[in-house]
Parts: sequence; C-alpha cells; structure tokens
Amino acid sequence: MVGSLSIGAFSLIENEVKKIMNEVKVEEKQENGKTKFTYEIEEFISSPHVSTDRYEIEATSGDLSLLSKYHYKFKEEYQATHVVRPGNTEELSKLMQKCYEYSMPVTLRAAGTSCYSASTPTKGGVIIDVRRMNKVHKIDKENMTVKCDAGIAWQKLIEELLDYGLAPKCYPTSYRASCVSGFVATSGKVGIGVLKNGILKDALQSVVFVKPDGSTETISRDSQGDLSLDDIIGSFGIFGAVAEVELEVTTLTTSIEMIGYSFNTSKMAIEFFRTLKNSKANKPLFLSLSDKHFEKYAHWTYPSRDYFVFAVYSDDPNVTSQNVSFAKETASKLDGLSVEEWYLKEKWRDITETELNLGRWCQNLIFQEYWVSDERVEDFYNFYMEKTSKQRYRHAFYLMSGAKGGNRVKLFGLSDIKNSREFFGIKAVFNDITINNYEHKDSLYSLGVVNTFYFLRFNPEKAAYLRNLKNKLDPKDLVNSYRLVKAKMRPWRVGLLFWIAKRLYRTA
Amino acid sequence: MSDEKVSEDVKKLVTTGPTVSSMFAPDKENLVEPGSHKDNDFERCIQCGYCRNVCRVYSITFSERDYAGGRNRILKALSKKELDFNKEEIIPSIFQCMLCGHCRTVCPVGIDLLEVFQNYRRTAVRKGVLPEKLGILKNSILTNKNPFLESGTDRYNWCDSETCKEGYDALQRGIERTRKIESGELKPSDIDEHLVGYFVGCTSSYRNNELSTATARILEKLGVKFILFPDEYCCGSVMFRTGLEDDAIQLVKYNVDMIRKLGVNELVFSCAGCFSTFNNEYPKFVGGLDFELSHLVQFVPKIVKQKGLRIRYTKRTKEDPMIITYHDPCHLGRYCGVYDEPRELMNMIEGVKFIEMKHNREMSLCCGAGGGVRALYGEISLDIASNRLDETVACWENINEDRLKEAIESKAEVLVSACVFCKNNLHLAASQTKPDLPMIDLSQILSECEFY
Repeated sequence: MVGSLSIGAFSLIENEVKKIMNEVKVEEKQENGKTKFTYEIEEFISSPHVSTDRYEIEATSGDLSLLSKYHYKFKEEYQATHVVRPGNTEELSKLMQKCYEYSMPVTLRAAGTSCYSASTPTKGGVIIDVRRMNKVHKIDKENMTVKCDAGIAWQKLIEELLDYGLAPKCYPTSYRASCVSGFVATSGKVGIGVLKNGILKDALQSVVFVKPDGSTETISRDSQGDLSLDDIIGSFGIFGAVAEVELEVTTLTTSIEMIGYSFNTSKMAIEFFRTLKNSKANKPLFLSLSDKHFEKYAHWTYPSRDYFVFAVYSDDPNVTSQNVSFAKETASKLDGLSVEEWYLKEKWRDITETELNLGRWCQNLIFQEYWVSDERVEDFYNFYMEKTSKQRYRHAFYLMSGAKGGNRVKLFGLSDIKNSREFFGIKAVFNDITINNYEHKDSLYSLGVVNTFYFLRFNPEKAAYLRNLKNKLDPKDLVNSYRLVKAKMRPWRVGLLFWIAKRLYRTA
Repeated sequence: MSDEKVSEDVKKLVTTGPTVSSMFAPDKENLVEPGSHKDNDFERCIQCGYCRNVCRVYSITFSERDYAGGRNRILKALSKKELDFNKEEIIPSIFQCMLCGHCRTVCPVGIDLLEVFQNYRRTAVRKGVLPEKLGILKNSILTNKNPFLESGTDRYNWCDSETCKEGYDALQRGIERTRKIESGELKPSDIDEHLVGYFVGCTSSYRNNELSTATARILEKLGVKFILFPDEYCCGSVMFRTGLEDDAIQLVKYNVDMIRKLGVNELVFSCAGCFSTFNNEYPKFVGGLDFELSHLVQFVPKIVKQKGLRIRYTKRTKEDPMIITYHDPCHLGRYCGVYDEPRELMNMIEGVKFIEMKHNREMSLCCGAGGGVRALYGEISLDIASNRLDETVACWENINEDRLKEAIESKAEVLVSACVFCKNNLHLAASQTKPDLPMIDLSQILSECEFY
C-alpha cells in the first residue's frame, strides 16, 4: 500500500516534471525561432518535415509563376511561416486540425505545376506540401481501379500501373512533374486520354477529403453531404485537401500510331482538327493543333506549312489502323500535307517538354491558358491574330483538345522581364484576349491568385455558389484564400497597369 | 500483388501514353541551342518541376529547397535581394546536392544547371561560407595534396606485395620508368612512341588500392609500358565541386606542368572524378591540354581493337557467365558522355553477361556520393545509394526470370561501376541493407581477364 502510494506519488511528480520540462522545451523552441505551434506539429510529423527555414519557404512559396511576388510582395504575405509535409492522411488531418485551432492560414500545394500563383500563400501561415503522400494503396484489376495517395506524381502512378498491364484513363501532359491531386484541384479536362477515355471527372470514383477543420470524409459519386465530387474538381483547394483518390483505370493497348498533317490555312487545319475530334468511332488518345511559330520555337526542323495538326491513336491494331486510315482520308480531302514519321514519334516521346522548349529562345517565357469551345476555336484564333499580328514580340499558338466540347489554348510570348515595356505589353494583349473570351462565354483554363478577378467578374452566379459553400466549410477563410471566391488583385489596378502598358509598348 | 504482375514483354509493347519516360532522356537532337546567360542562367528557369522527379536528394527529403528548380527560385530571390544571405542557414541549399547533373539532362529550356550550381558554391565560398568539414578537407588538400589528411609522401605506399604482388610489381615498374625520364636516363620516346601515363588519383592511392593495382595489371597485360606520377597532387575534383575553385587552380597548374614535363601523350584514369575534372575543368585554366585523356573503360577497348585481342574472364566460362549490371557514374556519363565504351567493353568479355538496369545512361540514378554530399550529409547519401541498390535487386529479379526462361543456372551476380566513389558508397549501403550484393569496379573484373 505504502509502496503503491509512493509509486503513485512518484508518477504524479514525474508527470509534473515532464509537464514543466515540456513547457521549458516549448519556451526554448520559441527562443530558437520555432513557435508553440511548430512544436505541437512536430508531435505528430517528424521534425525534418516541419520547416521554418527561410530558404525552404522561399523555394516553396510559388508555382510556375513568380507574379505574386510582384503583385503583392509589399504585404509580405506571399511567404509562409512554415512548410509542413505530412506523410499520410492521418498526419494531414491532424495538421489541418491544428491549423484550424490556431487560425493559421493554409496553402495547399502539390507539384506547383499550375500557374497564376495557384499554390502561393496569400496570408502567410502554413504551406502544406502533400508530395510525401505518394503511395499506391491498392490496384484492383478485377474492378479496374487504383487507390492511391493524392500527392503521388503521375509518372510514378503510370509506372506502377504499368507493372500490372494497366494505365490511367487520362493524365496531364505535364505528367513528368505534376501530381494527381493537382489535376483534381485544377480541372482535369485536358491531357492524354481525355478524348478517348473521358476526363478526370469520369474516372474519379471517390476521394478521401480533409476539410479545413481537419475532419475527414470519403466522398464518392453518390455522396449526399455538403460536398460532391463535382464541387471538389477544379476547386483549387478552397474547400480543403484531397488526401487519397480512387480512379478507374484502363488496360494497356497493343498498338499506337501517330499522324500529323500541316496545312496552309487555319481554316483547313481547324476543320481537320474538329473532324478528328468529333468522329464518334475514332477518338484519338491525344490531339493538338499548333501554328508554325510554336513548332519552330520548339524544334530545330519543323513542318513546312503554317499549321500543324497532330493526333495519336492507341487501341488494338485493327482499330488503330482504321483510325489512321480515316485520318488520312480526311486530311487528303482538306489538302493536308503529311509530316514525316520521325517528327511525329519525337513529338510524342517528348510531349511533356514540347511547350516548355520555347523557353530556350528567351529569358522569360510568358503564357496564358484559355478554355475555348469547339465552335469558337476559329473566332478565337482570328481575334488572337488580330491582336498579335501588330505586335513585335515573338508569339506562338498551341491548342490541345479537351473533351466535352472544349479545348485548352495556350498562347505564348517570348520575352524578357528586363524589357518591362514588352513584358507588360504582352500581358496587356493577353488581358484583351481574356476579356474577349469571357464575353463569348468561354473562360481561362487555369485560375490562381493573380487572375481570379476575371472569374469573379464574368461568373458571378458560380462564384456566389462557391462562396456560400466556402463560408460553410471554411468560415475563417483559412484555406487557399483568394482563389475563385475572392480576389487578391484589384481589377482597376490591373486594368490601369495594362492600359499604361499598351501605351508604352507601341505596336510595330 | 507481384503474382499479378504482367511480364516485361507486355510492358514493352505499348502503353496508353508515351513510353515510360523516367527511363528516357528527352531527345535533344532537334532542339535549338539555348541562349545561355552564363552565371545567371537560373533566371531562365521556368519552374516546370521536371527536374524534381529525377532529383535523388528530393526523393529523400521532399524539400523544394533541395532540387534544381527550388534552388533556382532561391537564387532568383538572392539576386534580387529579396532574401538575406545567412552564412549558416544557407548551407543546406548550397551543398545538399550531388551535382549529379540529372536535372541538366531533363531541363527543357536547356539551363546548364551544373554550371549554375557550381557557381553558386563558388560565390558562397567567396562570401565566407565554409562548412567545417569542407574547411578540414581544404586544408588537407593544400597542405598534403590529398583530401584524406594523409602525408603526401605516403601516396605510393599502396599495397603490400604479399596480397597483390602482380599489381604492385607493375606499379613499381611504372615508377621506375618515370624516375628514368626524370633523371634523363631515358627519353619518353625510348619507352614508347605514344607514352601512356596512369593518373592514379587520391582515393585509389590512399583508400582503394584494389583499383590502382588492378589498373596496373590490366595495362601490363595489354602490353602498355605506362609511367606513373609519384609526385602527383590531388586533381582538385572535390574542390571544384564544393566551391573551392580558387584554391584548386594551383593544383591544376602543377599537375599539368608535371605531366607535360614527362612527355606523356595519353593520360589514363581509373577514377571517374579525376577524369571528368581533367576533361571539364582543366582546359579552362591551362588552355587546351596537349595530351589525350582516356578513362580505363575507353582505353581498354581501344587497345584491344588496335591489337586485335580478345578478352576472357578467367573465373567463369562462356556457358556459365557471371551476370553483371552496370551503374553509370555521373562523372563518366552525364559529365563526359562516356556511355557506349563501357558497354562495348563488357560485351567483349567472354565469361561475363551484361544486362542493363532500368535507369541507365543519361537517366542513370546517382549513387549519392558526389558533390560533397557523402562528406556533409552522410545519411542522405546512404539512403540514395540504398534506393539505387533496390533497382539493382529489381533488375536481378528480372534477370533471374529471364534466366529461368533460358534455363540457365545462375551462380553469381554483381553490380559493377567504373568510379571509386560510386563503388564505395554503394558498397557501404549494401553492407548495411543488402549484404548479399557484391559491388565492384569494372577494373577488378578486367584484372582477372586474359587478353589473347
């Protein structure tokens, strides 16, 4: 009895000492530049993955675009105080819960291959980098599905599925760098496989979702909760983090062939493109249309005519062969000139790099991405030409087919930020095209902090719906703020900037 | 799950997308040369992140600071003075990189990332950044002319004649020839019209004598009357790699002067680090080199072809070959473009069967030893090596499947490289995680070969 009392008393004292020691530890950490919050995070995420290193924060505070720094750097909120890398759903959930408890702003980040500051902090706080969540949990050959962490790189997933004779139904052309969660958070409407097998939304069976308060929910196609899969796809992380996904997959095909034709006029090229795209029986795995400038800047030798349509067919050998025959017949009717096979093979092999190779020509590669309906491709192109033909800067046009009647158009400007007149002049041209595109019921393809104001201006109803949902799920507005529902950039400021830019950057 | 895996044949057929891209370097033949901006070429980085997927350090740390794109972002911020330069805190962003060059291989805009990051290190060192271990290494090289804190006069105490008499004797004969030239007793052309010198390097002199003795045996077996450089200095590789270039220049000038005085026509290396340093760094400081440079894996097939010889591995037979797979060292491969010669050489050897690993040539995965990472961040370095070994084991599993099909009985498999640093790091990782995995240098196989 005495012994047990002593032991009990000793335990109590020991606990008190531990408590005091912990408090001391917390204080020490605070003195060392870490906060109580940091220390509490390190209780469940190993310390190498909880960083307050200023260099790491700098490296993580951005995506392809550096614009956020220049647009609001004076507020110093483009930088976080922490970068944290959870390793699984449980860690992610606890982390979100802790951020919620501390009212700590959160920026969700995967590979950062989107643009327009989609993964840039806007209120400081914590960057949650999900790239450590990269495991494949289950490959189900019978039901043709895969369950994996959402931070997995597409390339890794493709290679793991390959071992089982399977492949994702669709994935982005940036698959060498990008992640599954990023494709979900953006929109998953364009890429390899979308025409043939459907867009990401069609392949997505369910997600494990972590809400801003840290609660976790599995959301499937028939879920009846606050959030649906439709809400999550393309939501740019404003409702929380996608932790795991279940995707339908497809089997490896046994043949693949590429066709490519160049045309003298945009009209013929667009017609050929549309015919291949809308042929019900012969859907290409990948389809693109580019102008001569694009091919020239991307390659040393390139097709001779002004427009180039490229399609890849993949299926059983007989089907592929039929598809290619159909494409050949259609091309000959439209006076298309066949492009050499080596060029097509190379283009397919390096499909991820093609659009980035333009960066070899310049100090700063500027681009803007649009979502343009099939019917409007020609008008869009004509407006683009009207705007750029008067400009001196080097430009290029690249269109990739999406499904469901839409396409991603990418416009490039080869420039140098040091030549600020030209740099902002190009941006001003893009601004004009963006407004024109929205006025014709089309939109931007990628949205981020620096271009959300376009979405708000032209999609007030959709924005109101998203805002209501955001208020419900994230009343403190902590997670991925200033995307879709609220703009960081002031339209008048941007408008003024471009108005001045147009006047300073005189056309040729 | 492994039972359900499809065979390699099916995988090779066709995928629904481009072929497995981590295995293939982008084809650059039809690309324009980028407009380089030399020291500030990082400004052209578009943050596409393609280098992230191939970065071995990132695969361990998952930190944006540790791969090329993230480091370029830091460099941009430093150059615009948006970020302070703190001599202590900045160290990992500078040195936690093997400079393996894999990022340069995949960079779509063609930035010479090796040049960028070596310049980053150089600039940082000039600003006073010097991790303690590098300071020790620097002092050792400047004082002892080697990085191992060993006396310079012990450089040629390589091996005892008991364990490797043949190699030792060959080396002694090489030294004797050198001394005779130095004393004027012989002219270089008296030894050979095309005089070959063997630049041993510090690691094979002080730590891995098995490479130097093996190389000497091979050269003698080929009938090459080579000379050695008993007074050689460290080539400076480690200094160039760690930002200490200003101190390395004296080593460059000394070594080149020494080699020229001895009238060498061709310099042979067994060390990939020394070879790449002579190839890539030396010409910057002494103009063109007036002697040829060859790594052993280039030199042997060249001589074998010249003399119409054949190679037979004496420990195995054609019917029962030793199966080997080859790890491309960064310093030979991505630094110097030496990919075909070692493969040609391995395929020449009767009694050895060579099979590729999944990631090879330009896309070979670094062993984790280079760029000072082994010295400064030992744990990361070993984790990287261990991952490389996983691939070797996976490769062997496939090899064994093939072998079963061919009904050939396997007796031994070996991972081979042609770089002493790769050998040491992979061997160390294997000893900790995969003790059954032999890791040897290609010269060790060649030294057990008959040339006839």
